[in-house]
Amino acid sequence: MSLLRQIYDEALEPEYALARARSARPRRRGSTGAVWAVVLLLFGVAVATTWLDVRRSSPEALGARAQLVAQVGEQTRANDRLAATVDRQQAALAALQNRALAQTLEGAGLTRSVAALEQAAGLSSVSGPGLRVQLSDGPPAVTQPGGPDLARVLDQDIRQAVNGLFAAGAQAVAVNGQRVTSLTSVRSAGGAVLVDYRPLTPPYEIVAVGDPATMAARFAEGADAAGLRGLAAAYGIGFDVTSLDQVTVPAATGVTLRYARVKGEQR
Amino acid sequence: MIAVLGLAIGIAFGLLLQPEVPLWLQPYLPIAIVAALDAIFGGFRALIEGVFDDRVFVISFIGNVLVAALIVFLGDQLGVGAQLTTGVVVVLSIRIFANAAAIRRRLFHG
Repeated sequence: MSLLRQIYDEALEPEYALARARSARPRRRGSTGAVWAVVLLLFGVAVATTWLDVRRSSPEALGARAQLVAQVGEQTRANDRLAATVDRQQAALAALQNRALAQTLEGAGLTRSVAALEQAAGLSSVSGPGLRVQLSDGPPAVTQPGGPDLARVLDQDIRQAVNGLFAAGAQAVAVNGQRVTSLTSVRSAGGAVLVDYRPLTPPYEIVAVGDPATMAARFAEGADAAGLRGLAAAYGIGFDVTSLDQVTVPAATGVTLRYARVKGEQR
Repeated sequence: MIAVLGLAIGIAFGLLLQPEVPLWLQPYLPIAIVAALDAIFGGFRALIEGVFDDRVFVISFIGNVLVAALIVFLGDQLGVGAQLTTGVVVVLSIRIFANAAAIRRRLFHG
């Protein structure tokens, strides 16, 4: 303990006493104040700089995260604005197309078939009586530590509901407001369900336009609904079918047609 | 008075101008601050006990800061930076507490 004792006893540097003994000169008050001021100034700068540095470096990650979240939100809004513009321009294009076609007898027939094809392809919104299928995550059911939550609705469950509805005779189907066309994918990425590459948040609401009576019966009898009922019974996933007098399925946005071509051939 | 003013100006300077700390200096700044604190407490105790000396004070201030930084630097180079930092902080803390206790005794108990 003599080492600690020594540290404690010599806390006041012995040089002070030595200097005092060597020169009996009186203390110079003026320069003492200045020396203190300079030393404390340096000390203050160091403390403030270090404090700023530590504060800046630790919540930096949080700041970056908030910034990213804001950017995601901003880009999503920009995306929505662009989608709205696309919708408006498609509507204007359709109006012009109809006007041009209406001028000839042949054109009138074409207008009708275009309308029917557009409806089938998902390019126009459809409304009428229909069904609503709701899928929601059940209470968390993790059977093994670190394992997956089995009570989550997966992309394949939504795909099952969509397929079941189409098989039951649905004219048009939308998942959480996203029209499902022959070009739409229902898949998952990193735990989120994507429909048409847009992330959806639960609960998932799948609406279909079609005759509610026959469609409900055929859907309930189908293998897809049976699978979903099994999931609901086994894992507590919410599965709910309601008939509605009036549902509207929006038009799909940004349907691009891709054409196959022979390799090496010019388009 | 002028000392407190110096401290306030120093902090304000650091906060307002936000001088960029060079990357190589960053690990040594915190330990240098503890060393400086030790020198400042020592100087204040000397002042109260009437043995204050400008030169000793300035030399102890600069010397403390440099030696503390040097020890940490050496420790970093030898792979025992964390342990040496702890050692320096322990020693300096003991000194700071001893000086603070002496100052308190002088100020409050005559």
